[in-house]
Amino acid sequence: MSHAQIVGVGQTEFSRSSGRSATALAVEAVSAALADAGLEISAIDGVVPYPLGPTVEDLVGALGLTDVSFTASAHLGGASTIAGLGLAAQAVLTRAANVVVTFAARNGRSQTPVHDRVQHLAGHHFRRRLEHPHGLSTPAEWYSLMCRRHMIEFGTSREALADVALTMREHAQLNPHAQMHGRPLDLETYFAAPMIADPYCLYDCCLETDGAAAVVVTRADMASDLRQHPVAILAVAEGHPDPPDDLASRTDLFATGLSTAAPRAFAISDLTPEDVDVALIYDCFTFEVIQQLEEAGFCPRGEGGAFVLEQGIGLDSPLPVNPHGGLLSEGHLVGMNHVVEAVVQLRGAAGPRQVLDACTAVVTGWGDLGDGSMAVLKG
Amino acid sequence: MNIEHAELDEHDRWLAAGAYRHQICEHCDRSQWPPRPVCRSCQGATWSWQDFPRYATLLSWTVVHRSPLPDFSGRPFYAVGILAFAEPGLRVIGRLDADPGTLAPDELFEWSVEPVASFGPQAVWRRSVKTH
Repeated sequence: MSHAQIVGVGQTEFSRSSGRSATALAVEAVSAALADAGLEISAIDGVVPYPLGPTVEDLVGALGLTDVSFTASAHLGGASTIAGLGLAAQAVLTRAANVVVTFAARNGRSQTPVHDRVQHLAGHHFRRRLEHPHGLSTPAEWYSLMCRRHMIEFGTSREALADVALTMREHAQLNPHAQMHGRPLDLETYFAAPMIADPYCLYDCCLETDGAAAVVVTRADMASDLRQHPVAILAVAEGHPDPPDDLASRTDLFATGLSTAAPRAFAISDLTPEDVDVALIYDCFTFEVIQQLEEAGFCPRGEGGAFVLEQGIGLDSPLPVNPHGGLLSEGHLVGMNHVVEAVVQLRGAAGPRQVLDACTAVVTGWGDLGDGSMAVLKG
Repeated sequence: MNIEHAELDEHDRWLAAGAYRHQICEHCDRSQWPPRPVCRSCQGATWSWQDFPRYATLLSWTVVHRSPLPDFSGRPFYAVGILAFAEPGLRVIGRLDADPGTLAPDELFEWSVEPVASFGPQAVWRRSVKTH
């Protein structure tokens, strides 16, 4: 069966202040991805933007594209990048387009902080009318409610959260592109950090980043002549918790979109968690890595804390997670940078942070109040 | 008049009258939270409103140290929790008027409706003197 293929990836510098517009960042990343693929800009005939930020028209207008035949965005908050990769794959497989670029671009540190971005997320009327009056308003606060319940029910510890933070920071020391490159983190500093939304301290929370990342998708019959060894998209699936727009009322706090998306993606690709060589997990906060390891089936629910503490998630562990440092230590490009890293790993081009013999990768997405998505990629 | 969230407006009118209430579907009797235009179970669109039970148990909480909300940004840290009612099985977000360092899971809390900063009357939660 023919799969869609990722044939090019591109990223801008990740910084605290880019000094240029999100559209300019998008153009830079998209151009780099097309150059990486060995394709002309004019070859693009499909555009899948992240739902916030530069639009289809911003990119098409800036690049002078004259015949775009497919456009779409997913609407799963931060999980939209991975779900959007699925839209790009569907477009080429149905021949709605031949060369689809999907991208995310923003000045997330210098221009559009998270408490402004969240007003675009699902159920914002519930947040504003039923939660702001109680002092609850940010993703750190929402998700820390899940984290504490997990600690209560399963004994998950701050030490497990710290392990995730420190491992991501260690990985960033091998990644010159990471915002935290050259800024190691130790346990003492972690525990001395200011609290944000207890149990989340400063180092449990991901970075805010100015930057852009883009990925080019084509069909297998077009991929073989191009510059890079293509990476096959074996499956992409999305899922939503019930209800998707409210957290407190949910009967099962830990059943998220990934709980249904991951089994679907594994079934479509005829693989299991045991087949995965490297996992790119949407690490908006440390606990979400633990939760997603469980819900994707890498360990039973409740055992994610023990998983990270005992077998670890570092480069030498059986399942390395986020070799690039993740959203926690590379930069927050809503997981498009996780797709890029997965491709680099599967190409064998990750240098000192290369996971040996990496052949199969999963990339998860997390957004809103637990929408989820997962892609299975093969080198 | 903004009709987009009429059911949230109705909930607020009850709070203004000192009552903390949730929807009950007039077709299937199901209790519902948060307030929505239709019943999630039967899609009925007519409602009555019933008081929440006075007591709920603390399912989880966070202690907020840096709030971007203007009404909360100047405050020292405070706790917000998920409160779970036994019957009906509804759960709400509620600010906890209690020392955050002393909170424990499953403690019994009770609400009272009081003015809160610029938000008007809201349910505020304190430890109940009643035992389970």
